[in-house]
Formats: sequence, C-alpha cells, structure tokens
Amino acid sequence: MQIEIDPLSDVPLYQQLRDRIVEGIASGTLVEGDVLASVRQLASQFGINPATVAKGYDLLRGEGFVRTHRKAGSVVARGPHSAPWSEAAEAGWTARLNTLLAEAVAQGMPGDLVLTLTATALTRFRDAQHAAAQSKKES
Amino acid sequence: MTVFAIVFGLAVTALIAALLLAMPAIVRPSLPLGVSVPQSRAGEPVVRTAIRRYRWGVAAAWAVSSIGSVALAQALPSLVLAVMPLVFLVLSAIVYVVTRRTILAAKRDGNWYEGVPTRLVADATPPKPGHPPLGWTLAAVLVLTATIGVGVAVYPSLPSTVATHWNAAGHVNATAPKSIWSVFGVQVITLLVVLAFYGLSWLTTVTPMRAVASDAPEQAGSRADAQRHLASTGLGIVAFAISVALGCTSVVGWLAPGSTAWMTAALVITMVLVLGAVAAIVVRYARAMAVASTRAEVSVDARPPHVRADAPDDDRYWKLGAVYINRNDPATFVPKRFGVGWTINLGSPGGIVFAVVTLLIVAGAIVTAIVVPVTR
Repeated sequence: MQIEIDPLSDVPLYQQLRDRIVEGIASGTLVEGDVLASVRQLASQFGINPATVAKGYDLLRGEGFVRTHRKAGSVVARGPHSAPWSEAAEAGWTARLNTLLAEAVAQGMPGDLVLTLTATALTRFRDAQHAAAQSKKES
Repeated sequence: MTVFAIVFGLAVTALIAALLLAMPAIVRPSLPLGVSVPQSRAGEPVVRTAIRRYRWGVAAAWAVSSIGSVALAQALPSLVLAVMPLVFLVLSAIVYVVTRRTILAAKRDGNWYEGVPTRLVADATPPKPGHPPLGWTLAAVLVLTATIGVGVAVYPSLPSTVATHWNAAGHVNATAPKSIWSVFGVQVITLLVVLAFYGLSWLTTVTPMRAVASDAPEQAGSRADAQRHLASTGLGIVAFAISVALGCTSVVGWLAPGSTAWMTAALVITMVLVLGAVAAIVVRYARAMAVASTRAEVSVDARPPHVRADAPDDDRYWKLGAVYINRNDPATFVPKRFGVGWTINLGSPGGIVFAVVTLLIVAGAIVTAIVVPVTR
C-alpha cells in the first residue's frame, strides 16, 4: 500500500504516518497479519529520519493497531472484525470525537450536515473494504 | 597504432556523447537537467531553452575534444586515447552546471513551488526482495571456467617467461617468470569482478525504491520492478562482457603472445563488448521507462479530474545537481538525479564507506597500472 505524507504540513510526519496506516486498515487495504515495512526501509523510501518513522510505529503499537512479530517485524494486529477495543482506548476516542464535534458546532455547522458527512465517510470505508476483499479474491 | 587509438577514442567519446544527449529525454520531465520543478512547470520556455543549450553545449564539447585529439595525435599519441574522453566529460560537466543554472534562477525568482502541494511517498507493504537473475552471471562463470580450462591445458607448454602486459597497440611491454599468478592472475581478477557485479545486482534488489508523488501509485510499483530487473540484468550483462573480453586477451596471450594482430583484435572485442553492453542496457531502460510513464498517463487520465501532488523540492541536497548529501536520509543509495540507476548518499555512513572503498579500489587500479609496468 502506497502512503503519502506532506513534508510541509503542520501535522507532524509521525502523526501523518500513523493516520495513513489507520486509514489503510479502515479501508481494508491493510488486513490483520499484513507485514509492514521495517522502520529503516520506510525511512529510506521517504528519505526521512528513521526516528520519525519509529515514533509513528510506536503510536500504532501503543494503540494496538500494530504488534511486533518476532520474525516478520511490525504486523497489522487489528481490523474491522477484531475483538472490541479496550475501555480506556474507546474512552479516549470518544473524548476526541467530542472535541471534533464541538469544533463543528462552534463553527456553526448544521447537525444534519455533520451526520451526513459521518455516514458518507463510514459508507466509503465499507465500500473500500468490499472492493479490497474482492480484488484480493481475484488475485 | 595512432590511427587505431584515435578511431577508438572517437568511438568511445561518441557513445558517451550520445548518452548525454539522450539523457534529458530519459529522466523524468519534472527533473530537467537535474533541477526539481513542479510538473506544471516542466514545459516552461526557460526549461526548454536550457535543455536546448545543454544539448548544443555537449555537441560542441564533443567537437572540441575530437578535433583537439586529432590535432594532438601526432605529438602525443599515447595520451589521446585516455585523455580525450576525460576532456569531453569535464567540458560536458561544465555545460551541465552552467545551463541548469538558468532553470534554478527562474524557479527561485518565480517561486515555482509556492502553493504547490508536495508529498513524500512510500510503500508500507513492500514485496519481499527476490534473488537477482543468475543467467548472465552463470554465463560469465562458464566463460571463465572455459578460459581456465584452456590455461590448464597449455600451462605445461608455456615458456618460462610469459607476457603479462600489453600496450594499446598490442605490443608486449611487461613479462614475468611463469607461475600460477602470472598465468592465471587475470582469471582471479575476473572472478573478483564477476562476484562484485553479482553483489551489486543483489544490492539493487534489496535497496528500497523511492517512488515519486506525481506517479500514479499503481504504476510506481511496476516501474520499480522494471528498474530493478533491468539494473540487475544489466550488471549481469556487463559482468559477462568483461569475462568474455578478459578471457579473449588471456587466451591470445597464452596461444599467440607475440601476435599484435590477435591482441589488437582481443582489445577491440573487449571495448566493443563492454560499450555495447552499456548501450544496450540504456536503450532497454529508456524504452521500459517510456512504456511505464505512458501507462501512468493513461491511468491518470482515466480517473476523475485529479491532479497528483508533486515531489518536494530537494535541490538543496544535490550539490551541483549530481552529488547527494542528506544527513537526515538513512538511504545509502538513492536514484540518480540526471542519469540511469542509483548514486550514493554522501550524508549517510554507508554511503561514505562505499565512496571511500570505491576510491581506494580506483586509486589502487591506477597506481598498479602505472607503477607495475615501470618496475618490471
């Protein structure tokens, strides 16, 4: 899976890397058991400091998206069919969602629009998962 | 001898000139003369003018070095062969550095990258590296084995003093007492060269490829595969050519050491094989890249209107548009800026070690070539 990061963005590179991997899992491009590139490999492809990539991988590991396999290295550990996440993680996510919704409300975004956009995003992930599963079956 | 040296030098220089003239068409359009520009600026008049000037400059450099060598041939015949391609290369390098400056200036003055979205890209799930193709390397080893077979067969009948070095005209200019080393030394070197080339082609399969944001992601992978395959095959072809060429000179040295004609023929075969192999690889590379980029264009056009982001401007890491120094980049090998294949990152520890070792080998070869015939 090809991922893109923006070197000029205000979002730190390690955060962008973490976000792209999570999106890859959500859209089914990355499935449980997929082996990720090593820290050095990924840093060499991007041409960035390996410490940045390691920081992104640490985030993913801390959140349970990725685990370290003794032989293969970093492996995708979660997917849409994984067991429910920990209570603490879910609470953290709810808090962040709350902040995100607060931004929309504070900026005067209509509630209907917020719900429509959310539904659209979820549908997009589901369709992408479907397409990814289909193309994997074919190949 | 003089005529041979001149024709030969002219041919070598002409081949290098052809490669340099073709280079702007081979490298990606967003890197005109090794300057990184946004895709939308690749067709700017200043870019086209700079490339045209570069081509004229290279052609002029070729004419100057060719005419110069013909004029000097009578006075310094032995120098011409080695110096002419060198003079041409230095002149071309100056042309490159001077002509690309206008693009650099236009980019800076016009703020070409202002507001242009840029991205770094990587494959998070790269395929496991395969083994480099063995075919040409095996063929090289086969030729080497056959050469050694001939050597073993004629060893008893060789005279007690054997020729070890020939000048460009095919005259023996150094001899040594018969021994395993003086007879089979070239074969030891051949083996080392073949092994070194196999090591390099293995490196091309494990070196992470660097994709570019402006390429469609589905094409970046096939492009990388094509590049890898051609690079490792190309190194195999060159190893084979070297094995055949050195084998020819050895066999001639054993069977007909005094024959100038045979030695000259072996020398010509050597150069023609090596240069032909290099030319064949570059042509195949250019063709494969052209196919890859037309495919990429088609797939981009087939999508809804969507402009791909550009690769970031990384000119500050490329000294004179040729030498890459980036301490933050852990890669030892990076794709060449203006050329085919890879170059080293002089900001990485691996790159520095590789550069030092290569310099030592080259210096050793030059010292051996100059000192050894003199002391004998």
